[in-house]
Amino acid sequence: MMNFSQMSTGATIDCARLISSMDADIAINWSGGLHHAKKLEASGFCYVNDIVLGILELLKTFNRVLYIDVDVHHGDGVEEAFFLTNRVMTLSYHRYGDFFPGTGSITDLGEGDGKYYAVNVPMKKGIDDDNYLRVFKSVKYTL
Amino acid sequence: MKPIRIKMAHQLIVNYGLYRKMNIYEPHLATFNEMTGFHSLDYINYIDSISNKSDTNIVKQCIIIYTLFIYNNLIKIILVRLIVLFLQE
Repeated sequence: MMNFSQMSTGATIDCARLISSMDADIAINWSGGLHHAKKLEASGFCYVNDIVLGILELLKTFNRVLYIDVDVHHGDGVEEAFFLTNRVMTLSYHRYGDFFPGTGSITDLGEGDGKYYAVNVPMKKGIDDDNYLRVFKSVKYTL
Repeated sequence: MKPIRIKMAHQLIVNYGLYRKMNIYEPHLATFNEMTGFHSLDYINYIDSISNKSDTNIVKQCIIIYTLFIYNNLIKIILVRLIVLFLQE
């Protein structure tokens, strides 16, 4: 358990470091993305939030970070972590309405300094590729 | 994360030939210090402690399943395979 978390988190932090040091333009951790984990609890098969730790690593070098979440579930752990800051914008596309984890309403925009730095695109199930792409592009370009 | 997913990811990476265009790194193991950058120390200690326990109560409460163990091994095998493939290229 600990070993798994260490590998998954270590890989994401390494990815962040590679980007910070300009050794890579794109870095992927195929086993990362545990976006539901909270500061004090595990949730939805996520134990240690490697994404938050990766973003924190990036923030050491970069002023601002845009986080895009295309998982079918809302990226609640990451949104919660950066809800109050304007240095990280979280953008999540997800299925919403009687669906895990139940957060990610379009009206959740962030608070305090982070107001308008949390963006949620809730969708109903059954969207096809073309429509998804259209929504994805239009929201991304607007931002 | 389910073991089947990492298996699928591995097959896709290999069959699309993606690994030919990438550098493959072996990650370091994140330290306690790194993890507590976000999580509370108590929580990380808890995760560490349940790793070594076979307390059924805890297992029932959390979704810590034995597949995680398999998953851990799988990930290692995949990594090694990827590195071998990479070196062959």
